[in-house]
Amino acid sequence: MEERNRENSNNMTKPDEELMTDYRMGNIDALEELFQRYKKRLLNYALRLLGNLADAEDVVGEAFYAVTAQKDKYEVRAKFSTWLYTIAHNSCVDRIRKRRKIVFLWFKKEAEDSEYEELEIPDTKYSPDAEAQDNERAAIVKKAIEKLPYEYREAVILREYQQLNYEEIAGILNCSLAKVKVLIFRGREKLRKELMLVMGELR
Amino acid sequence: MMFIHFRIKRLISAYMDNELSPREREFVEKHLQTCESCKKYLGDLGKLSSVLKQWPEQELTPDLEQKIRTDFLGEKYKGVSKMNKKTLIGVGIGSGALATIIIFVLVGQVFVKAGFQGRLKDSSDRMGEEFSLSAAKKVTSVPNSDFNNQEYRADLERTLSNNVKALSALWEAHVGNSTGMSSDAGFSEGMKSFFARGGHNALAASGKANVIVGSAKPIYDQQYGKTMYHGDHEEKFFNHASGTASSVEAETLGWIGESAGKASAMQLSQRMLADKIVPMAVAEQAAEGETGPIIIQDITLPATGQEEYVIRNANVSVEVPDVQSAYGETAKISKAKGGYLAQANFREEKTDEGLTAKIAAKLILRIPKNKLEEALEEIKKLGSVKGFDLQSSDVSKEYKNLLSEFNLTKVVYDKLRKKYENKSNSVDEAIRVENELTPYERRMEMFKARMAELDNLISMSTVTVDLFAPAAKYGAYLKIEIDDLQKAYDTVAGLAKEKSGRIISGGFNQESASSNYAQVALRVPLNKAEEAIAALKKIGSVKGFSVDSKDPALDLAGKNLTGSASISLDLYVPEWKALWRENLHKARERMIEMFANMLGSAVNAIPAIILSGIGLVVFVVLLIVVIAVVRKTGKKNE
Repeated sequence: MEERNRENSNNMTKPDEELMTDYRMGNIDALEELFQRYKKRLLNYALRLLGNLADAEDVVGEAFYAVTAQKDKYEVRAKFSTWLYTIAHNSCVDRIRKRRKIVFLWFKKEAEDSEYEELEIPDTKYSPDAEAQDNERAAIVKKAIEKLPYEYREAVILREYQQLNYEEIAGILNCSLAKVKVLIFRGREKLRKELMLVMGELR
Repeated sequence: MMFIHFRIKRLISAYMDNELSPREREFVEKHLQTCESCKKYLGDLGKLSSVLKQWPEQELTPDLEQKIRTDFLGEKYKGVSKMNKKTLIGVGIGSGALATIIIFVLVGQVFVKAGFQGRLKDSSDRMGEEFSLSAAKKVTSVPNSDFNNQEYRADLERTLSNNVKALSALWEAHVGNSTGMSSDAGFSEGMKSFFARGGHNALAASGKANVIVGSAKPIYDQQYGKTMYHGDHEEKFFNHASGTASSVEAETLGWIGESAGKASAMQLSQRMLADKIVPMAVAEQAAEGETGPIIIQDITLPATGQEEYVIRNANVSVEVPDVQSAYGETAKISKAKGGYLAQANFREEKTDEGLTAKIAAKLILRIPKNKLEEALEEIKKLGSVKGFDLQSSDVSKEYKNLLSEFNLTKVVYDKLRKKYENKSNSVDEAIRVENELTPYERRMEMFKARMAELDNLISMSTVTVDLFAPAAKYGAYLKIEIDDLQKAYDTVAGLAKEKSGRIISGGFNQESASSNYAQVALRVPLNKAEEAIAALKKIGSVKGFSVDSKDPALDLAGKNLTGSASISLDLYVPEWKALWRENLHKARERMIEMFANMLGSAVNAIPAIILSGIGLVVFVVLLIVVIAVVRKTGKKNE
């Protein structure tokens, strides 16, 4: 028991790749640690990309399930986070494709509205007034992001929210570095125009 | 100068993320020292980042976390994709099984009707079994004026579209003899009429079936004091190469043995026929002195060995000024040569800068082989040929192998069938016999199918045509504020056409005041680019404009310009305008309603006056409200 605890506390300092190796050899706690590390990141990534919580949940679950199912396929040379994000990215792309067949997000106001309802703007620690204002602003930002074409949206999310570098993003989206640069640039351009008003209020 | 800035902005974006090479970084930093607008831009990007952060992260509630964890640990996602595969296989097997069952039931019904038991006994009915190997094709038209009995034609068509086993049953029923036992006379009657009407000729001439007519006549030889048998067969078929009806004959004369009799004589001559040309079904023993039965055979085999067994295919790559029209032309060419367009697809390739690099189309044509050269010449004329190759492959060896394999299998099949001829004829037995024979039938089908496939590839050459337009040399971007989306969009479309260009992609969304924009990408010939851009600018108030040219020395005013320019447009209606229009529309509607009500109650004057008074008041109030809303929204956007 003590030994296990010691190992667990060690887990917190181990790099991802090592934890994967441990997990492959049968240590389930290693997987748990990885889950803890990435759960929030993945959830928010999927959430921002897809726009609703239920789908995001599923994506996270699927991604970790894929980790358990394909643990032998994972190459230790590759970065774990890139691998994990790529799995999540593929899930999201599948969902978006399926969605497009049913509801064309751009052109159905009802659908847009229903999407908004599902996301709960979380509480912040600020005073009620500031809170209301923040919620409003968050909604505006969310709307602007959702307006972006899918490719731009994803690149911007990975850069601005997930703070990944261009190389990693290129690995996840499976494209060239040059393309990543352009996607981010154009995504920012569009956002800039959309959020010009909001940005103006910021001093 | 604008042209340079367009590029630098992108560098600045990467600079903020620290993703530039040292050289690039140095360049940018140097530039930022002197350029105010770029400095501001960098600042804007930073502000954007912080604004984006105003959408905070979602925290994971313990419930949510637990849910996710149990989901993936409990393997909730396990069966998803596998299930899809399984479902597919299941559906495939299920539908396959269903189809087979249906076929069996149909064929079985025919058996029952024909009195299958009797068939095995009756010599003339043996024809039924033999045709299990050929799937008869539908006779769509029989161009022989003799054969103008509607009923016969209808019967024939119907029958041939099912398994030919049904053929005899149908004729029997038609002729009025349904016992199946002694149908010699009846069967011959039916066939006699068929022959009398020239049905078999018509069938052969239609090209839908090979017709083999055979007989065996006994001839008493005085000298030997024996009965000799004269068997002969004639096969009529449609020769695809020459496009005419032809025939081949074979005959035997000899004493084969009394017990063997007519059947053997016929079979012998058939075998000779087979050696000469193509495999055929075993002929039937005819009633004495009468012409033999008709054996209908699937025509997918070529008639004789006179044709070349060579497959020729070609690939052409042509650079054309306009891909869409070249595509149409190519399709026309293939049709004119008696061929067809098998497959086509369009694609657009973009470069990083967003200039449309290529519009390209790929077409796969099938052209009758004798028109191949002609077709290729015409296609090459469509533009400047950038690639071409022609391949031939000789498949005669494979073909001949298939043919001999088929024949060998047939010989075995015939022997087997003969073996079962005189056995008992319970339904069970009959089915067992059927099962034994089936594998041979199947093998023969297989060979035939492959030969048909080769025939198809030989007779129609496959030509793959790659059409593409040269890259856009010039790209422009315009952002324009407008009043009316529909009008603007239509103007752009008209403009594109006028300048001999076209809209590559475009669409607009006008559903709500907050999203009222259109994005259009169009292409115009380079020499019209300047005009087009000037005209586009007039559509509304230009809020953004930039230009990117691959060739800085490109002079748009130059005379002999080839190639195209790519223009992307962002059109939008400012939100306050859209809202105003929306509300005005609503107000107008309400006004109309009021008016209608007022008119409706014109019967009673006083209520009418009162109502119109109220209406007026309401109208005024609404007007005030609308103005207030518009003012408010206007303020918001300032």
